[in-house]
Amino acid sequence: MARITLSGIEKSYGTTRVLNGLDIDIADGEFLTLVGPSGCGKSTLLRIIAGLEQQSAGDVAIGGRVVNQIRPSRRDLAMVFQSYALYPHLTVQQNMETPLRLRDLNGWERMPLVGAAMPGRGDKLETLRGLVRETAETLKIEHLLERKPGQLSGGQRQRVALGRAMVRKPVAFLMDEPLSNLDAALRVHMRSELAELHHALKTTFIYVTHDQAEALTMSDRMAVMMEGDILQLGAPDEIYLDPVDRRVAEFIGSPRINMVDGEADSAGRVIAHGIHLKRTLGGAHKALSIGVRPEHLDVLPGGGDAESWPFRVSHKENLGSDYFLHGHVNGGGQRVIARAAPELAAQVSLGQEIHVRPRPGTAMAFGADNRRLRFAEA
Amino acid sequence: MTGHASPFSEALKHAVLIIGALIVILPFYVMVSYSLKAPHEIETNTGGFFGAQEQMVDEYCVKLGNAREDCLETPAIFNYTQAFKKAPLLRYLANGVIVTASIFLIQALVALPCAYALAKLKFWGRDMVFGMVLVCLLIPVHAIALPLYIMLAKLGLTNTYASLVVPWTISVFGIFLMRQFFKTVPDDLIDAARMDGMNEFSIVWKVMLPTAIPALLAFAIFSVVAHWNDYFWPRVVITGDRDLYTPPLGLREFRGGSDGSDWGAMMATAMIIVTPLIVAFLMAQKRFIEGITLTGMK
Repeated sequence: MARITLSGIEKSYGTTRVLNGLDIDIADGEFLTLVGPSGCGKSTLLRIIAGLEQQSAGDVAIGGRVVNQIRPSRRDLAMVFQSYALYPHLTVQQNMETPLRLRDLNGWERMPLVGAAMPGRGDKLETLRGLVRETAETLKIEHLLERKPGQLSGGQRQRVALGRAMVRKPVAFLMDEPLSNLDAALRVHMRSELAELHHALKTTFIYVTHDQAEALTMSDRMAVMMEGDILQLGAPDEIYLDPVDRRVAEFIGSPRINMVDGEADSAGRVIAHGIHLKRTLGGAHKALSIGVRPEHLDVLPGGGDAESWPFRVSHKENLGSDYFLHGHVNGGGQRVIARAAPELAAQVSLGQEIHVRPRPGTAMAFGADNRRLRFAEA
Repeated sequence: MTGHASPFSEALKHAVLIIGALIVILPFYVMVSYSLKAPHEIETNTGGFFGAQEQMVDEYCVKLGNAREDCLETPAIFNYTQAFKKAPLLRYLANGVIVTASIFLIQALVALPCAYALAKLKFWGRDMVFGMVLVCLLIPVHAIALPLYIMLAKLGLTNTYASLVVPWTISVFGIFLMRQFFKTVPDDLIDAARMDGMNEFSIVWKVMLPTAIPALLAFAIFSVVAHWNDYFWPRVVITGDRDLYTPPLGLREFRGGSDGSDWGAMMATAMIIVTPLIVAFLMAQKRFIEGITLTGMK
């Protein structure tokens, strides 16, 4: 149990900079997710925390102690890999024992023949077998202990990999896309299981993923990373409802947030695709992007008003509980998606021209530099 | 390609393969056949594959003053017993085992860490070192035989096991082969071992070696076959001491002496020498196919 502090972490490979001076303070017991598209540096950052990679500048501190020069195994962290990385020639039991043996037995006791003669080795082995059994029970994998990784399914391997990380009772778990090799149903199931595990263990989790749904569902806080920078760090709700950057708004949320072009006159009044928004910005802006989430667009099959966009439906996506209507507003080039209840969507046919209206107070404005522009409080 | 070749081209393919197989098998056929036949059958080329296996008189035994009736032998049994009597073949076989086993063990001991470093560690000049390894693959043994011999002679190592083993302990081919295999081992596995607390040497022996068994087995076959059958190098460095003869050198004992070449016994010796290799290969072949799958990784 410890708090992990990253300050000014930079990483370059040759002349290519992949991390641009990152600062994060991770509280003890927190579930922090690093989320971003591939190549944003999130895995590199995790490997720097683990000690598998050396940062070019900056400090990693675990529990107040700077660990820059400390070997991965001595940092008392455990890592779960995307490929699980189980030792293919060892049984599940031996896989889970390995980190304990390496930590708790000395060099002599690990020797093949000499080891058996060392006093006290039997007791130590007994304790560590107990730890393995205990962990296996928590994860419900006792019946797999004698099998080899090759005989396990993806989900079982995933649990074993978790078990191998858990036996050591590390101060923090580092997870590098641990669910991305699982099929969709199992992934959703493991999401809730991991979150429960986090509650039960009360240990710090640092979780890397490119899947915004995993980040939103599991994290206490999430850091959205792009091109080596943290764009926003905060609770999932805050990131979703109040993104500070256009790229954050677009990355988080599925389906993607709708962006329509707009501009603001000198009084700060915003016109987006022919409709005036009620709220005003501080000043004039030439090129604005107005973001509205699909669930914040009201679908009006009958007729529009001055505050709604004409919308030609080009595709209906049925998710059972909801429909997503894809189309274009005002015949413009940008694709817009609106969420509709099934009863409402039933009244809409493909190719029909209907209206959609952004719910008041939900639109977000982003400037040409991607930064969020705040509306004046009404 | 549709996958449907004409019957004619299929027949042609098979004909070529059959001729090739015959060319390879013919010397073995002759070896097995001669090892079973009596000398007069070998010389007159009669008796088919097995020979008539009639009782024959061992002339050497008669020369020693025994009665002709006491010197009657069955050719096949006679040839194989001769192989062990005329030369200390067991000793030669033991030498062969000692030499090939030591060579392979030391080769593996050197090649595995080298291959690991070349495949998985990042260090300055790694690609250049690997380039040098590749260049070494191109140097034929015979080109450096003389300087090697002189070196060993100056060290006073000729006529020792060391002279048979030491020159082969660093196998460039082994390093290359294992490096190519290690390249396919996922980095995650190595990182997991580092997180678990293994140092780089433990990773080589406890993680890389067990996953590399199929590749190591392939290398073992190359290495053991090459050095078990090697006639050239033992002939160069073992000049006097017959106790150090390897099996191929032992074959020389049956070369024409005063009573002519003893082909039957010589071929029986050859059979005895190649049998362990064939058995070992058949066993290894099965392991090859089973292999150790790396499915635990994905």
